[in-house]
Amino acid sequence: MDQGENSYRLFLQGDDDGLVQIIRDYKDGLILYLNGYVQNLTTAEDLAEETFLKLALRKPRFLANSSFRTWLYAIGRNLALDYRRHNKKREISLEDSPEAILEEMDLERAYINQEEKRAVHRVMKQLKQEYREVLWLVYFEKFNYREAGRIMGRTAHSTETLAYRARRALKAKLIEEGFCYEEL
Amino acid sequence: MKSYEEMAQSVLCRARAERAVRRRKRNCIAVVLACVCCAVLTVTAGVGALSRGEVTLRGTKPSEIVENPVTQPTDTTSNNIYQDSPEVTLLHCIGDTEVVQMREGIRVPYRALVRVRDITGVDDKEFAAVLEQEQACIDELFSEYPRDALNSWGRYRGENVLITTISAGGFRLRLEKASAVRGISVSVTEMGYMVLVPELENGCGSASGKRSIDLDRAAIRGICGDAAGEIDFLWSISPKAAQIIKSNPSVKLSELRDTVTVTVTYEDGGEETLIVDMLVSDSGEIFAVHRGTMMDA
Repeated sequence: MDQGENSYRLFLQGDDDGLVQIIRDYKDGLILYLNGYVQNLTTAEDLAEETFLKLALRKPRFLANSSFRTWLYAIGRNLALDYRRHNKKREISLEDSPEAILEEMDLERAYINQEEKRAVHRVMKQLKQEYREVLWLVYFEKFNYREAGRIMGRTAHSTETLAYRARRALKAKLIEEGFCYEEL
Repeated sequence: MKSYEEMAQSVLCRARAERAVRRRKRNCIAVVLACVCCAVLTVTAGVGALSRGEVTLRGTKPSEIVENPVTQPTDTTSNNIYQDSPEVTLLHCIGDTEVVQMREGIRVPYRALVRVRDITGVDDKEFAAVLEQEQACIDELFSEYPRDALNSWGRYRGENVLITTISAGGFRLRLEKASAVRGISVSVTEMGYMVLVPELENGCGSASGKRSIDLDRAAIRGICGDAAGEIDFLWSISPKAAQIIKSNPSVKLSELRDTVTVTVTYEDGGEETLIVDMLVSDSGEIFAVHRGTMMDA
């Protein structure tokens, strides 16, 4: 049983601290993950909040078929998909404001320890959305292929293949940018 | 960007607010459902009571009046056999053999009722004795009911008669004054009343000198007088209705229902319109109910 599951159980028993702990543990990672989806940090933050609100209001049952974090990310991803579906026609500015860029950098700094990884994360933005997603889940969040596939609605094999292609695309981009990163 | 504490606080607050809204919605739905259930139960119970005959609807059909056979009262203190029905009032007239039906939902205590006068067959002394006997009840009527609360056509001892309440203030009909009208045998009584004059022909005209009377070509008319014995106006039934009665005395009540409008023209040019519903029973009896103001106040 991971920490998230314990906290969620605590919350279901009526202790709001359980939810606070969940938000503390998973907020930043979830925001960065969802930001890869919606390409807007403020929206990603709102979606992360909606994810936690969904837990607080509906109190869905966690069946422990996966880790709590996998389950939580899957909920967040579904909300992000809904958001994108409903806002398909809405014009989205891809140029973030300087404040948003700074905020994102702060968040990166808080969540990603190594400078090299942060640079990789920034280059990842140039990749297509599913590459960004799988790289984030596998490379930064350390999900295995099965778990990442569960979040993305793919099989483990398909996720592995996607991750391989994403890694190659990222390498090419890094070379273009003059980086040499051996971990990939 | 929010810190985790801020986000947690925001999430918890929103969750509480959302729960409160949902609770209110649930309560509202519960109240609405309860109201609907209550209404359905009420209607069901009402229909059940109606079908069991425990409740009478307003607006009695004329045919229902006929379907309730008129019985001869034996208890003179409680002659209204429809005491519990606000819709149909059965009244006993003077004498012991005839009963006159009335409708329009006005409940009148027995004997605080109308006077019926046979044009030709009733002995004046007999009539006066009955009036005297019922004086107390008449007084009671005056205190409880407005003037002209009831008027009806009826049939008494083989004659068509018009039945009316006796107006407050000693409204008095002096039949002598009506003697100018052909076919009426008149006499003075203590209390006023109205008399239907069968087959009365045209030619009455102004009787009191105060008012002129707009007579249409009615075949059946009534006459009414005031305390001074002066004729106020004549009643008339529409020629159409009268024709039907004459040609088919056994016409069913449900087949004939006519509203008669009587226009009284005053000397000063004013007019008063009176409305009378007239019905004929299956046995050919005439029933009429005055719906308008009989006398100006």
